[in-house]
Amino acid sequence: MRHLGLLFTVCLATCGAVYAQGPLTFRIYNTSSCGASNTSTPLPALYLFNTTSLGAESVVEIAPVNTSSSTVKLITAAMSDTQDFSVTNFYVDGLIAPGATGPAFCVHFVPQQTGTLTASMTVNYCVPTASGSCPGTSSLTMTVGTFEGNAAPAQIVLTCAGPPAQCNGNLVQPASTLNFGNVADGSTASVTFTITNNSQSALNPQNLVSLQTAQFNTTPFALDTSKLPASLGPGASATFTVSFSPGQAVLYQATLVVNSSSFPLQGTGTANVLGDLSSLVITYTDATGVRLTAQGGTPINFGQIVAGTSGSAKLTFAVCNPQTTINPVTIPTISISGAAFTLSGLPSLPVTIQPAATQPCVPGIAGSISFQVVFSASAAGTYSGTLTVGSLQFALTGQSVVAPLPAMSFQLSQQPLTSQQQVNLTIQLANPSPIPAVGTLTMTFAPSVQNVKDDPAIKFLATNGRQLNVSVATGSQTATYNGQSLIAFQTGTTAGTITFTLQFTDMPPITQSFTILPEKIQITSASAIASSPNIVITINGFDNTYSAGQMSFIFYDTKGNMITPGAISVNAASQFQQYFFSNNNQAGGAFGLQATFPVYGGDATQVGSVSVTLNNSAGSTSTTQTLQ
Amino acid sequence: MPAFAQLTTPEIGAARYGTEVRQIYGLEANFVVGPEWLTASALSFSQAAALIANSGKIQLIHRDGTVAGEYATAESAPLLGIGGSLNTAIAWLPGSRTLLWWDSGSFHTTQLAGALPGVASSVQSDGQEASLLVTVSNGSVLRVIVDLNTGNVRSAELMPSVRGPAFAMGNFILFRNAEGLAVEDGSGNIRVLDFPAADPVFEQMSSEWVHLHSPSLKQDWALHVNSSVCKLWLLPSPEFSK
Repeated sequence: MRHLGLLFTVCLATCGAVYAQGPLTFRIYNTSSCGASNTSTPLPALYLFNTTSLGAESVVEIAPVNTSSSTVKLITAAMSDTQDFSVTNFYVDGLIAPGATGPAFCVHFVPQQTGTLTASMTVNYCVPTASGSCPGTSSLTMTVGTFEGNAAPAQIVLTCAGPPAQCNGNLVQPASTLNFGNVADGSTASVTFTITNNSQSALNPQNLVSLQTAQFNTTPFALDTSKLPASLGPGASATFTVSFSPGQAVLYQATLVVNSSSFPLQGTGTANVLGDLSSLVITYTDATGVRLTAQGGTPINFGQIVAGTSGSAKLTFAVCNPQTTINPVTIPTISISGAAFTLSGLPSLPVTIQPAATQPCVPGIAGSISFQVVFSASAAGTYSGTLTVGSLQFALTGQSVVAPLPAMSFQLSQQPLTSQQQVNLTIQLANPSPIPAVGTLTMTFAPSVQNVKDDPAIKFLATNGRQLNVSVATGSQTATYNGQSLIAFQTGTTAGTITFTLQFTDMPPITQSFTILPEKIQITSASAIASSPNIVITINGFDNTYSAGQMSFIFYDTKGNMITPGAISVNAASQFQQYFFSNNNQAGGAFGLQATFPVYGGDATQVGSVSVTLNNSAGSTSTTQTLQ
Repeated sequence: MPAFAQLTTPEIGAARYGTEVRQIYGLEANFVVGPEWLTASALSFSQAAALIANSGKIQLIHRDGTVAGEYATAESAPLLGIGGSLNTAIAWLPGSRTLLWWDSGSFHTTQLAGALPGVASSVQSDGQEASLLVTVSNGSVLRVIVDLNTGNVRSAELMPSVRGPAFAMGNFILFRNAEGLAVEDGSGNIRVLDFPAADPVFEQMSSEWVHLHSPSLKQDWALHVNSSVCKLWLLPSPEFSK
């Protein structure tokens, strides 16, 4: 592989071929602007920019010279510090014949910080093939040179014309408050500032002037920089304006920043002494107690709520008529627009407010009224509305965001649900949770049996209650109670619907219902005992319809023959109704039945078995018991 | 027609949560925990009566809660058992090596002649003899039969498949083994039920039901066992029991 030497020179006249370490040399053509020049000097290894103020720019124009015997193709250029230095007009993919000078490019020094700043520049190049393309990946890198500049603070001064006492022809000194004085609501006071560039280089004053206001607050101060040029040469001046247009009778403050100097601004809004709506001071307080002043031009922000939850954002407004106002002010109407916003706590309207309010304007003080505005939204999105107080209008805004937790669902170890079961409930997350969370799981039961209010056996087994707190760990896809993901509950002995509701903060509630259908009487245990002269039949079971009534008993002798009179029918509907619907019922549809039959004219021990049939609205159930 | 028919709330028995004794109503898998009924540090219930220990005394009570008899004792950890009628009530007082038993309307005491070879975990009585399940140092269990009249040990039988501490109810013996909760019937047949806790505490809820509590898991179960049923259910665990 051939090694190509490159040399960079600064051209002051016709560039000469000076070989160094590459096929190119570089020459300086212009050190004041990025424009064509016919003279050049060799670019030294370290090029020093003139001292440059913040906001100003220094530039050097450089051209490459091919000092080799081969055509050189430029590919890219790079600066090691791209914050304070930049390259423009670089001849990308440009071919430079042997001995030729390539198109000039410019290196800019626009310091963003004070102090000595340095950057090195490199170029990628190759020796192209006959078609002008680089062979394979054989691009090479060479250093153009190192550029250094000293960045100094901007040297600018400020004078002003307007109400503040400092506007007297002398330079305005930082830190002294520029007071715009008392300005009636609806009126404007303006101060024109003259900025002068006393540095040795041009600067952009538009980047040096700004207005700072208190966080979260709105301001009646306004900065107008439309008359400032993009470049202000050494010794040149330009003007900008700060205006003060108070909307309420309160003290306002802001800060004018010029270059790195701060100039406090102050102005006092004064009420219209005749007493009209513009005299009123309107403040609002959020849930954390932060109080802000309502400004007509700045939307009142209710912040974020989570879509679909019961969460809402409420602001409490106070409307005050300051003591400085002479007359009472009457507010004819207060209204609100925007579907997500509602008004509450309004006084009777129209309402007249006496001029008695002291500062600060807070709810409950003399000379004030108050009311609330609530923001709530079921769907995610940004909502807007308008609060109208008399003829005053205030824009409202609020945001409803999607819940942070993944979607959740309930899974049961047994479906469909039936009575007299212990079932495990699992709370499944669609994705691993990005955050830890604690929620409340609630179970409710709605019986489908008329006149039945509840079933006391339907409970979470872990707590013997119907509510418990579940946890979701970061990265987990199940919720747990006491470390267990299986949450057991009983289904009771009453037909109806069990509903689970899971509630996490900042998340819509998750609800799912499961129905327990009516079924035939279920017998869980039975016995028949011959206790001469009686036969005692005991049956435990449940009727989840609470409609048991008709019963039938058939007795058989020890040989299996039916004993006269055959089937003995009993309608016990009234007894069951009394049992199920009395205040003493402690077990839902569960019951214990004991029936005693006297045996007349015979020996009870000769009875071998008994068949029992129980009926309810869902059908018949039978059991046969051998006598013990 | 039946001469007499009665509908009642089915009763399971009584369970102790801490020191609160509560009646348990309902059916299998459908338990209803009643309000606090009695206070006890230990108990044993049958269908007919119950022994409860509380505040320096052991009481024999009828199922309606009325007291049939009372015995004052400083024993801090009495072992109670009752299989059926009042005359099956028995207590083992390890501090004084004394058996307390009920007969003919009053409590009687019999001091054991000698010492038990281990720690007793269950006691039963048939009115003539006391049967204690005793865990020896290697975890094996002996059934020790004691004459209630003399206090003499009549026999000490090694129960080869049983690990202590074991609990006897009727003809069944319950214990925790490596597979789960083992239930051995009178014929030596063993049925093992899935059981998550390693530290079950047994108390008899009624003649067919046993309350199991795990201090480590803070969970309760009810075991229904008779000649045809052997099922384990979760028992509601009121928050106050934890």
